[in-house]
Amino acid sequence: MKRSLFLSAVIACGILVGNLNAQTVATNPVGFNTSTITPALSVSAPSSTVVSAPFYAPADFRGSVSSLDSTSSFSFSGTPFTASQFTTTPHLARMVSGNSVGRFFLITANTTSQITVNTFGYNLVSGAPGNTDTQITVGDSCEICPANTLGSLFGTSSVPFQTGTTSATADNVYLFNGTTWDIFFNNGTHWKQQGNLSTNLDNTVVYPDRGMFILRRGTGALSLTFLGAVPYSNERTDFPGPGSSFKSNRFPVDLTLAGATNPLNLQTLPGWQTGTTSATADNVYLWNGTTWNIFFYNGTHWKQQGNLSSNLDSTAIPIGTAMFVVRRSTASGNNSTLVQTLPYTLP
Amino acid sequence: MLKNIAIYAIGLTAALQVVHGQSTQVTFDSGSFQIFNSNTSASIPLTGGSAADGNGAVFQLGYFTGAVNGSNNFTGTFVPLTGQGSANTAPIAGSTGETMNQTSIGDLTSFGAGNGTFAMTLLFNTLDSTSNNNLPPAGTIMSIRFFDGTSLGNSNFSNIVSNDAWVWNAPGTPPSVVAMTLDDANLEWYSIFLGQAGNTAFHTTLVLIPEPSTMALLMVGLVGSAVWMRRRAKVA
Repeated sequence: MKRSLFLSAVIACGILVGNLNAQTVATNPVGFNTSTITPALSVSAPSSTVVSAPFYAPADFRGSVSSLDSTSSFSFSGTPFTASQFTTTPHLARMVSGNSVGRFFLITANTTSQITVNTFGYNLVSGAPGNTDTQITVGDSCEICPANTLGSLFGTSSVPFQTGTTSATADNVYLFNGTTWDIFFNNGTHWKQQGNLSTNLDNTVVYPDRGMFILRRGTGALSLTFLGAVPYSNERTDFPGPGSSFKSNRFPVDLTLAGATNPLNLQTLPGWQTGTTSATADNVYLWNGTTWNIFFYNGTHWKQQGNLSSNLDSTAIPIGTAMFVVRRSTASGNNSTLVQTLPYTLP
Repeated sequence: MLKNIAIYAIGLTAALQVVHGQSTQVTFDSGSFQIFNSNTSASIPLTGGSAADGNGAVFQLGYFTGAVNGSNNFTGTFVPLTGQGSANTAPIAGSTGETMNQTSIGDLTSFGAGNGTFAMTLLFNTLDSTSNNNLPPAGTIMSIRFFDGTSLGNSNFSNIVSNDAWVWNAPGTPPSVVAMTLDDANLEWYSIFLGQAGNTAFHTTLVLIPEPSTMALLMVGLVGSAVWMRRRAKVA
């Protein structure tokens, strides 16, 4: 996969802007990344490419939490919102300071001052941080931005993909739901899901930490360009186990498993299972264009199944890609959270 | 070949959530079609039951034991992977408590299914005893069998649909994928294969014949009745 990154001329860094009903809008550095999708040999011989969108949509709001109202809701001073403005189309609440910096939550409801979020199992108001607690405190900074969706990333009635009436004839976007693949395709008008009779799934959320598997049936060249606000804080990514997750790189740079440059360091997670073979250890799967390369940590270095090299710590997880992480070990809540340090300095 | 590689590779996890086996994910729906009862001159969809899942007209995801590309898709014995008669009892994600041996028309409600329609994703894991029973060899062509009743016992008609593209892929990690929809081109209907009219497609027009065991019981009953009547006649 070819790719490029361009951190655009910084429109503005930090906080800019104005005060609209006590609402602060920030414009962050923006950039784009282009992923080249391998053409298919034919409709029945598709190609497969792993991609991810390493950018956020520009924020609609930034403010400080004024109160914690329940296990899943919190408020801001004044009346900065219009009721339900963040649910007509999906929005994320992204914590940019405090204990949860780098976490995001899908907003499920909002009043003029309060938002309710899907906490993905966390408890926002727990007084004692624990294995399953995310503690947000009054004064933490939160940013609200439109969530990336299939429609926002790729369009709805005009998409770069081959469209079709079934997933068997169209290009497919695979999203992993923690257990199975959700298979999406565009029928020329809307996004549809194989195995789901809903007519319009344009607003299907592609979370910032999720990878996408593109099954290309079109035989022409295809480049996907992802554009948006560059992450400017640490990111938090959960790798619960036992189980599997398909996680994005998170940052618009190449990462390595544990190399000298931009290491991911999954092996530092509490309980990460090491082993002498991939069959006994926790695994990281990286797509090589046709198959998965399977990596595991042996307690000293990263190794690859079927590769006798002793040290593969510097194996790249390229920008705009994703990895399948298969955990045999048990981890949940904060114990499964990898804090990824911002790997670059912004102007 | 490339397709197979891609699909195998795409396969990887599901049951890994709990069990570290390899798995095959079958994702299927009725697309823009409905399934109707045996009256081909009317359009009465098979019942989807209530809003709860698992109580509509029975359908079984399965395969014929001799169904591979190059043969016809209805060769051999039909083996149900789901629905009544299946040995698989794993819960179905997204359902209202439905298990694999309860698949029916109208499932899953949360995925938009109702009367005459269906839409769901099932995961078969090699190490999960509730979802690894009777899995076919890779390359087997899958079928869906419909009944007109909410149980096998109260059904009178059925039909089966298949497609050369509905090929079972070996379980993998991540899960390998089998995607099936009635919108797919080149559907093959068992009723038409057996010589019935073309308009029997999407209809349950095949008369259900009692199982051999049922026939045997019936014969025992008839013989018993005859003996009893003869003895009664002698007494009289």
